[in-house]
Amino acid sequence: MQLTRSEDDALSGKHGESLASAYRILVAIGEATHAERLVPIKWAHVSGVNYNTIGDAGVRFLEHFTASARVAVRTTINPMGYDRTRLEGISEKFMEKQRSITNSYEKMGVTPSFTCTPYEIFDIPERGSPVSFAESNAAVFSNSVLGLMTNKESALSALASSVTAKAPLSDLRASEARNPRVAIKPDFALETELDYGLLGYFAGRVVKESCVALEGIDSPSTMQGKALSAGMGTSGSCGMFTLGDANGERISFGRKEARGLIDELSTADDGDLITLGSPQLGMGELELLSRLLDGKKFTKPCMIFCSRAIHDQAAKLGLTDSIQRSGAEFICDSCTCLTPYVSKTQHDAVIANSVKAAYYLNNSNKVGVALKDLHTIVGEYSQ
Amino acid sequence: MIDPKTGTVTDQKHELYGKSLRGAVLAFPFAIGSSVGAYAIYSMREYAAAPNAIICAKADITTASGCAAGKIPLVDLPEGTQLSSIIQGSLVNVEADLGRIVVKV
Repeated sequence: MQLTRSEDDALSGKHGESLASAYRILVAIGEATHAERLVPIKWAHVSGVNYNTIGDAGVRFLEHFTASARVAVRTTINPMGYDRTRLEGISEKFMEKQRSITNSYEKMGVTPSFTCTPYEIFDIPERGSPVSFAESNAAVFSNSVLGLMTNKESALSALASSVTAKAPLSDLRASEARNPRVAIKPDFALETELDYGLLGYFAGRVVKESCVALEGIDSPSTMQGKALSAGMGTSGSCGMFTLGDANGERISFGRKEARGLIDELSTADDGDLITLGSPQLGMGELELLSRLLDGKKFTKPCMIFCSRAIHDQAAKLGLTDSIQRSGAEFICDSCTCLTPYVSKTQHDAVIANSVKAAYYLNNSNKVGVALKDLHTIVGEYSQ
Repeated sequence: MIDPKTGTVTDQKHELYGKSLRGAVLAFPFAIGSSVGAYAIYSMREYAAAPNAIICAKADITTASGCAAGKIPLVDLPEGTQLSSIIQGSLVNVEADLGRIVVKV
């Protein structure tokens, strides 16, 4: 890799230990991915915020790193473990560790977004802009729908990008990798956001490339695109989809394949709690939910995970009041995956519409999941 | 999935289930999974439970960044070499600076 004089200086420690660490991380990635050089990025989105995702060693790493590290570009961060205004059920120990993490990030100068959908809240740079997004649903969505250029970053690579404002010029940050060689073609009409989530999860699993074409589907709505991106980001190394065909292999996605994935991810027939999130809900989903509920009440407890920014905007428009009248509860700053709010000590199984949530609830939270689409959930569990 | 405090593989479905990676040379194609996997790799170093070196068929961002943060030597297999040419249990010498892997048969 070719480094500039100032990048070399920083790598050798002339500007402090944290910056040297950051450049070591970027150079390691650059060498592994055959990048010629580093390029400037316009936005970093960092994961590894929820204490359950990084543990004690992560807490200590961030404390040490942020003693001197400061962001060099707009940096947004992923959800933390809980809603800052809803502390019931969260242990003192968890709060202490979570606060240490939050303090570290704030010391660095991040924007305290606590969201996995920064693309729904913040101003989007022009198409073609390199960014560094660690949250996989955000990376896939931004590449595929917004025309930004990022790889599926790790928590540490996005962190390194945030303090250097640089990222390696490789893979999906270069145009060659953004031309798919494999296409997935659904052979049935996709109807629900769950169908799109399953398509994404299937594509991520069967395609070993960074970019895949999705053939024969219309441009997805935001809700469908989010579900597709979250599914894809969960199952493999694919970081981008295009619409149309590819000049190579075509793989069919039929009802049999979809059924197979449902059998794998939907591990319960029913649950004692409805969780909506993964990704956090945006204005479109909240409007839809409000319309579907139409004054009805949920027959089970329901947690709606959304960012504080979206929640507050929705509140000003009267949307949260209307949804809360159904009995549903808004939980901000956090999301379904790895949150202590959903644990096997309190819940045998939950009802969810997200493929990503189903994957993590089953494997990390160790809670069963009844996977159903939103229309079905409102239809079955409200009156 | 690993327990970073002991370097032990905790995924029951994995062929290395129950084995400790501490002090070993770990070879695998590439990592998949969550972005915070990089912290898991870094954490092994912090708990003195890290492999001595990692060999990938094609190193990915998570592995490269976790190894860089944790100062674990990481090399890719040379072009045209299969991972299957390294047999479980063999003695392996990795010189990351030279990009050299020596497998004692």
